[in-house]
Amino acid sequence: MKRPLLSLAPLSALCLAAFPSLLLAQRDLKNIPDPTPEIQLASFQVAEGFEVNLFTSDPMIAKPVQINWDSRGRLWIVSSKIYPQIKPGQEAQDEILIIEDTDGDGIADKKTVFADGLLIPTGVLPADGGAYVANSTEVVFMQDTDGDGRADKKEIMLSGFGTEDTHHILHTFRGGPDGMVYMNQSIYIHSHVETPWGVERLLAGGIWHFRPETRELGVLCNGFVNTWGHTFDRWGQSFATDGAYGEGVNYVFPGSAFVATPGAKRMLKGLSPGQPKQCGLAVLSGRHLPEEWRGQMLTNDFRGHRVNRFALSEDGSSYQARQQEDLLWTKHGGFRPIGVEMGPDGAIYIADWYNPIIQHGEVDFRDERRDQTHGRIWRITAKDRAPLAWPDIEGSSIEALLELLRAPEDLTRHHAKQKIRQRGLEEAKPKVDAWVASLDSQDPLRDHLRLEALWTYQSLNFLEAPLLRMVLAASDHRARAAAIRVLYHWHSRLPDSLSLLSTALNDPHPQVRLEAINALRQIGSIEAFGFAMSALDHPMDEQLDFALWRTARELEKTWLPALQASDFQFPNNTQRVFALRAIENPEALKPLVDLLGSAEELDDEVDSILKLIADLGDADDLTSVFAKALGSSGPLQTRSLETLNAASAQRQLKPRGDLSSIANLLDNERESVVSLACQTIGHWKEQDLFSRLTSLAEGAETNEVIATSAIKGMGLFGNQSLTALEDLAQNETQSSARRLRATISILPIDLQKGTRHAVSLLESLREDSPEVQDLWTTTLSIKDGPKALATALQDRTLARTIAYGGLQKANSAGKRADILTKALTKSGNLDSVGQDLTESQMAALIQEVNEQGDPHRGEFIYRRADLQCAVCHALGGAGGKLGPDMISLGASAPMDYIIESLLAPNKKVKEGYHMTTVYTKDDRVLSGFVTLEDDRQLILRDAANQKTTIAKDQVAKKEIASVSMMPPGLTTGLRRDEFIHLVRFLSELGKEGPFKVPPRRLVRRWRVLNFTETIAEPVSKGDQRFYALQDDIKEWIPAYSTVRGVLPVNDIPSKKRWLYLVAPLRFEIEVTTPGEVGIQFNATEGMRAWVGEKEVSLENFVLQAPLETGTHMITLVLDGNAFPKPTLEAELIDLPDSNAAAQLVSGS
Amino acid sequence: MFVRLLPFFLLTQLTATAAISPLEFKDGDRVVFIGNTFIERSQSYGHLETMLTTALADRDLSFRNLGWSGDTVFGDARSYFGPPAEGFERLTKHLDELKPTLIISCYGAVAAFEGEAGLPNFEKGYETLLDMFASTGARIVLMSPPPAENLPSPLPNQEAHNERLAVYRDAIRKLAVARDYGFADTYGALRKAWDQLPHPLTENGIHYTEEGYAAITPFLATALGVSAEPPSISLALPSSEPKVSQGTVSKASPNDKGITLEWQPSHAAPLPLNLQITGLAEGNYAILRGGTQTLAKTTATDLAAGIELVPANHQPHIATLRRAILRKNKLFFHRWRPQNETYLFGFRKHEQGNNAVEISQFEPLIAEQEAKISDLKHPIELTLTLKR
Repeated sequence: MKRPLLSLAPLSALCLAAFPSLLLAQRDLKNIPDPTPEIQLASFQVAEGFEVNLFTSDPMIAKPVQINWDSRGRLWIVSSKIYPQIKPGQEAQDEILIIEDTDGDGIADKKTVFADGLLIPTGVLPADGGAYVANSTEVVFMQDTDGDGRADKKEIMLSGFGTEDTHHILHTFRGGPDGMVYMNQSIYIHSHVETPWGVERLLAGGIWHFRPETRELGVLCNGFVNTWGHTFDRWGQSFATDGAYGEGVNYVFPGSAFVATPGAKRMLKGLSPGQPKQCGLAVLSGRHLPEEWRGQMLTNDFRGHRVNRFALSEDGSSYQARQQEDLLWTKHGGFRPIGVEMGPDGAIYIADWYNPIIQHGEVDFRDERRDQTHGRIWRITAKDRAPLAWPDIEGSSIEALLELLRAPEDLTRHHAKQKIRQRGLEEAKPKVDAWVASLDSQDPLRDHLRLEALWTYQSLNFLEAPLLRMVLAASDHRARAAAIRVLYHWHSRLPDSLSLLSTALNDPHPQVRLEAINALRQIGSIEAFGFAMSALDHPMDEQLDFALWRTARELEKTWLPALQASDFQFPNNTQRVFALRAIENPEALKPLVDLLGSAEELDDEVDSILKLIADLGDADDLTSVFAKALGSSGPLQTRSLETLNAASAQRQLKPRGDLSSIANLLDNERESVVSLACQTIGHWKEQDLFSRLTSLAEGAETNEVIATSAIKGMGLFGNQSLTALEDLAQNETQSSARRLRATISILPIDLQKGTRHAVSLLESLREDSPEVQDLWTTTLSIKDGPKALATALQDRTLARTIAYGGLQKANSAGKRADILTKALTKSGNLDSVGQDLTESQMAALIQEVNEQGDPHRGEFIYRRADLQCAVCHALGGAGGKLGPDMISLGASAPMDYIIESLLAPNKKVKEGYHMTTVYTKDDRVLSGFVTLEDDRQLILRDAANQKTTIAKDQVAKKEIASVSMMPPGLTTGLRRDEFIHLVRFLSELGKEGPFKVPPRRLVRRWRVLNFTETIAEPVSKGDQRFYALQDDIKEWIPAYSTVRGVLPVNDIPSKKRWLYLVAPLRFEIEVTTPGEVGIQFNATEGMRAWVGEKEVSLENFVLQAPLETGTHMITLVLDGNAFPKPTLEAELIDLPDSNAAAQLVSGS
Repeated sequence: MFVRLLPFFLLTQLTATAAISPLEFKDGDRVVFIGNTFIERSQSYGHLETMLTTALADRDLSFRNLGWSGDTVFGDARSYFGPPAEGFERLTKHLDELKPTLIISCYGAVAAFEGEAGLPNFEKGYETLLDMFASTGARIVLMSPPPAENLPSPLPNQEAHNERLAVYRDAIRKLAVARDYGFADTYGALRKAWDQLPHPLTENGIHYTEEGYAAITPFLATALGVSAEPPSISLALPSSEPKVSQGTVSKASPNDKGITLEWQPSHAAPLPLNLQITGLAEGNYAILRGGTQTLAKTTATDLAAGIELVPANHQPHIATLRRAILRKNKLFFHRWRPQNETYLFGFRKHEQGNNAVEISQFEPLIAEQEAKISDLKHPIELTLTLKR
């Protein structure tokens, strides 16, 4: 059904007349919550057993950016009123504040301005008798030497940090257990820092580590968008949260790389994909808190105004995170929790940046709604539990400080070590030695205490080797892992590091092995590499695999020449394949091609070898693949053909010798093989086979898939195919699909003729189709394509649907397609889309959304297939990845931003979602999102989710386009009321209420069966197991749960078979620790379930099955007539007595 | 009118490199400093600029600092999202806007970490950079990086690095000679004077502290061909004819208040004034400025040996001048390297590009400070009274 195009103009014109211009300001004011702290406090909902009080507020403080406690129990606040941008003539006046609660009543009563005159300082860490401060381009160490509370000495520790974006600049200063300062930077920052040891550069996000006394600077991990949280657990492991990339808590280890690492082929994931974006991170510790809370983590969903809580448990070399009930939440729109810390009294402190506006780039820097004056620190305590007394750390002897290392409170132990560090090695060493000697070997805390002592030495910049060996032999693997981390930094200080690490590689615990791989990579010698590779003798997991992969790549220059010179050999094939695959070096390909020769079916190893050959192989390698294409069957055969086609398309390479035997494959019984072979023939320009392609292309008996490929193949012959293609394009007895395909093939050969044929065909069409879409895409990918098509369209008329589809494509191609946009608007008689609303029109629209918008109807519209929202956007991790996850959109974005993003997506583009336009040397122009770029190739993912690989030497120019991946005008097909509901729905997302994604582990990404003619019928009508066996992914299409996490039964395609209304669907579950896994359903009546191909019983609404490590497919078949509920809900649950660790597979 | 007196060791240094083009600051020069951290931080302390501004107050000069931490001849630190070539382009654009007439370029400190192996690459890169500099039409001076300093363990020993720096210094000098550019041997000048300098000069071995910059500034100025010889006045009583090294001085006029001298310095460079008076009766003396403000209390013996009056004593307005220079530098920093460039000028300018107009609003503020600097750079007359 066609819908009337939305026109906002008439209604907004009405509003313009009806409301005075003051309305805009009123609209703004309406969005501004009352900043009175009491009102905010009253709005807080706190977890059972806890209460909250205001510790300090404006005017005592304003705009806290980071908080950290010092050894005297005082709170240091770094505060910026200049953010986001200094005004001309404005003095840099930002401050470091020290706030104290001197009478212990839980309310701050004293403030000292430690420093001022700073420019957007974003990190403060009191340590070493002063404070490290992030001051835009520098890290300074400031001290108060005369005791008046004000800094009077400033030393530049580091400089050269980028400021390309002030919400990304150096931040989140943390003191490590090792005495180092850890600092984060975000995605847009490019830093170039000179140290006396050399220059360190970090381009894009990552976490730095810095040892002040030596000025050594290094990078702990790469990537992240806005890593606004970092903390250490009791055993020194690092965890991070991200304010723009929602995967919850991330486990960070040396050399790990996360989203947006430039040039990274491979990245790690967070522990809770699909989580809201988070800021700040703290481990709950100490005796003030109820026991069951200790060790859990807190982080802030600053968009959703919530303080989230996670329970982490070990899972192989990594962790599992389970979200718990939130600690605090509110609907108060000004509450922006950005920091969370455990305080000296054992209470939890939340830094509230307080601002109704949190966007950086998307909202004008000078927007008056940006709050520059408020800010709060909230204190949360457990009811009926006494606050703790803060020990006198300043005045304590080293002996007393050492005793404090027994404290359960992380903060106490941290400052005790810090204070010993300040006393110096000479004074401290004999006392630490004596303390270590005095430790009771029966003490249950023994391993941890020894580790604390090891860290104390490390803080003193001293490697105490006997103690290190003792901790390496600890019975607790977490202590052993932490000891290896010392070697990661200081392997050169110990002569036998290599042998200690090789022992650690055989450690029974994967966490220790992970640390050992990382440390060996640091050593970097060929021996170290050899040891590291033996990690493959033990079970691997994602983190181990990643660390080893990175090791092989980083050390390539060390081991590959040695391997080639036969100075080094791998002890087995597993290691050899792993290492050679990792480096993707053509010189290393031969041994892998030999392995391919003996392969009989496609497995992961063979698959990745084929990928490598496609990217790197030479003609000889392709000859081997060709042999495989001719001589194998099944998936191996199709992958081989795809490999040949990819190598030819990207690098114009083909196998050696007589290739005519490809013709044999045209008679293959499998459609996919014939189809691929048609294209191969085209790539290779096998002259004798051109006529075979022509007859397939024209043949009435040829199926459409093969005909399409045959036409593509013809086009690849170039000029010589022109006549044949034109004949086909003009042949009225042929289907319009084939004629369009022929036209698409003509376009790159003869643009003028191609566009002429295109217009003739388009004129006759009334319905959009994939072929028409491809026609637009191909035209746009040719340099002069938009112009040529626009010329051909002159004075011609297109159906609105057709023109509209073209317009959407053209809009997303940026400015160069403007000429085509105009032509299509005219030919299709379309109103212009992507309207600019005046301020008063916007105000009126917002009012209408607030008064009349129904978010439930909005969700229904969001889920409608024609809008395609979920194709690109996920909701809580489930859905497309092309655009940002919408999980907390409403809680973070003002409504005008949402409306503008819908109407004119190019105006506001979230970081990481910009298109890149690539101009190739052969005059192609491609736009899309760069999913990978290294020195060899660039992979673009376009708005239709299609990936294109471009060899790097083919790239003539590349530019970041200020264009969104989201095509403008997607909502043009909506009626005004529908648009209003949709906006209301989006603006509710993440806010407290029914449109907040619940933290339960609900199945959100499904596959449902697209019943088409090609799906065979089950032999017996009752054979539902049949569906569990349908693995042809083309027929399984994605479906996503609602925000609440249920799938409407009506959204599951079904088919009437005999007495049943059969609705098959499936989802995936990834098991990382094997064991009994449970899925709870809201109903199981009329439902059968299979795990893989094995049917499982459903008892008490629960599916329970013992699952091995790996990904498992769960297929359900509902009988739509018998299933009692309108929606289906499935939740991953923990079974008593099961150690299994599993997660639901999410994504698109 | 301006007497050039070079310390002995510097004289020998300059003789040794006689093939080098003479260094000269000309009236109307727009001087642009380019380099890595060493240049970048000098803008926040302003010593060299204050020295040059005052010592050459007879000329209209303006200074712009384009130093960038971690930068190389390839423009590594100046690129944002692109390859170093993007940084090189950015520098080209900045120079295009600034239209320098004199470029003082100080590279090599970062490259020196690569040692001999990195030298060919450095030389090649510098040639390309210098071609770009030359295309601006500006005169060019190549400055060698300064030496590194050995600080106590656990900071690294810098001997090997200094050797590498010397190698790079030689290479830079070769480039300067070949292209007939000026050359300032910062490395050589400071190494020669090393033992006389007040250590520590650096924060970490390679980056000079505020005090460090102050201490080395006379040597930097000299290396740039500008005399930084401290002025001196000597009077041998009972003669009433004082001798003066710079400027003019009145006859000593003994009266009931003491002995008064009126000194009109030739420039206000922040250098100590050496005052030597012999032939005084034994005893304690005070030195007053303008007859009222006590600058120093001393003795006849010390005065006979010569005492130093710090610049704040004899040219007190220099502190104000330096503040204006620092303010100007800060404003210019916001002008050429504003925060949030991604949004103001980069690929997200469609979001905040409307605020880019603010950036050019720094221009009049910079001009305001330049006017202040111009007013403050001249020497002021000093009336010194010696009182028993």
